[in-house]
Amino acid sequence: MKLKKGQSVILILMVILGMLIAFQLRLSQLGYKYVQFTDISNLQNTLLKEQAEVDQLHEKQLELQDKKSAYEDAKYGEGGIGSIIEENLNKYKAFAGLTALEGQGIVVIVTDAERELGENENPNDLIVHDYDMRALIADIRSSGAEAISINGQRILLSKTELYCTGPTIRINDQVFAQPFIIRAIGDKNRLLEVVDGPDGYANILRDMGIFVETNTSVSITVPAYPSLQGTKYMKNVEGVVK
Amino acid sequence: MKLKRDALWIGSVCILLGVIMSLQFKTVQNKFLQGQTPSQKSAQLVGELTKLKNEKELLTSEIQSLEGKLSEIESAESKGNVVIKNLNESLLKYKAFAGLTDVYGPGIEIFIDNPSKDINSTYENNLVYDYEVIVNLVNELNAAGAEAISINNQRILSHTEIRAAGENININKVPQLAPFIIKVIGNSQTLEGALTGRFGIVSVIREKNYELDIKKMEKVTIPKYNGLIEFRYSNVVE
Repeated sequence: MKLKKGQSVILILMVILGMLIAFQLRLSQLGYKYVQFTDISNLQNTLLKEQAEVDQLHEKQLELQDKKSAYEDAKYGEGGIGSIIEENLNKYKAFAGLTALEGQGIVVIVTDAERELGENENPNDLIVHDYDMRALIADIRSSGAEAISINGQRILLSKTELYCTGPTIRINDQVFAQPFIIRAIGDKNRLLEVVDGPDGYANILRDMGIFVETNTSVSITVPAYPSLQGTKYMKNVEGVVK
Repeated sequence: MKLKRDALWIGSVCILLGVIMSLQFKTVQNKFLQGQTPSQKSAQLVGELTKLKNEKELLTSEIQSLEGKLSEIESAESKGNVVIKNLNESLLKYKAFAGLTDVYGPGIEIFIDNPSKDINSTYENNLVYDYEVIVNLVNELNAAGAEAISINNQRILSHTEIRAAGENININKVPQLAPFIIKVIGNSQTLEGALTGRFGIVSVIREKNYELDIKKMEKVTIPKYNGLIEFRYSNVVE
């Protein structure tokens, strides 16, 4: 019996298919698995995050070790532990934003646009808004600023709100109007580069006609956050020190 | 012989296609996988990840024991001395305000994620490029009287940055990806009401198709900041 032409082609294809399946099975036995590229990029991102967290913990560990050896030195020394605790107290007070700080930095002045209103233009386009100020502050913060104030009010991301209240902006429960003067302490050149840089929000504001002036200064003073408000809801996990 | 000429054309196009495909595979292999097969690469990454996780556990336990020893010394000293006792109490107060202690209390938990992929839309919403959403949310929470906030377990400090960096959002210099879980301590009624009011920030975020979910909680625990804070440019004004 002779095979037809079509049948012989199918026979050959089937043989090839069988070989391929066998090859595939052998591969998966060797530990080759199909991995999606999105899985790999997710893994890489998680790795970055974990690495950064481990770095944070390393810093913390070193700090605590230093503190412990300082305590031990004080025990056998003359000053006593009280002076070290007081030193730490002042440090934490500064971190919490409850002391006035001084250092190099930049001053940014923002005022409403003075140009005439164009045709079909909304007056809102010429006015400084709370979200403009938030975007500017975000720029400043991401360039490593250590302390920021607007019109003499300390800005803490953990406490402060910038809120539009009609023609004014509410900051730390007090109301301020333009011009807004932002003072920020940090590496003055880096601050200026980021704020004035091509990606900076200051340029977007300038394009709309709003007046933004940036200057560096060797000495800037940023006031303390107004009060250590009583915390009503928050409790320390460690509890009160006996 | 028209058929033959067509076959020749198709053959040459196939060869071209083959060359292009092999180029593509080569590029992906070299640039993205550093010359490894996908399974090798992922195995290597998983290995590194477990190593890092072990290191993190080790560090955390060491830090805990160090902190225990330190507070032991502090409390032992304050037993005999009223001055030190008072100092310790205010130290804890400032530490809590600065975000350097674990805290708990009533509050809300916000879950926010990228929209699930929509085949009909070419524009992809991504929180990483829309990080202002998170900045505005924190501002709104502060306005509603939040006492402590964390995003994906990173405590928000007085000068924390929230910024898109590559494919991630950096918070306290730690890269984070969606979904974001924001924990807040404060009056849960006020917090929820301030966010979900008409034309409030929740409706703005939902309009952009992000998934958002708010849960009122009896007890929210917010971790302390784990890193080191250092002022390099600021001096305290007496």
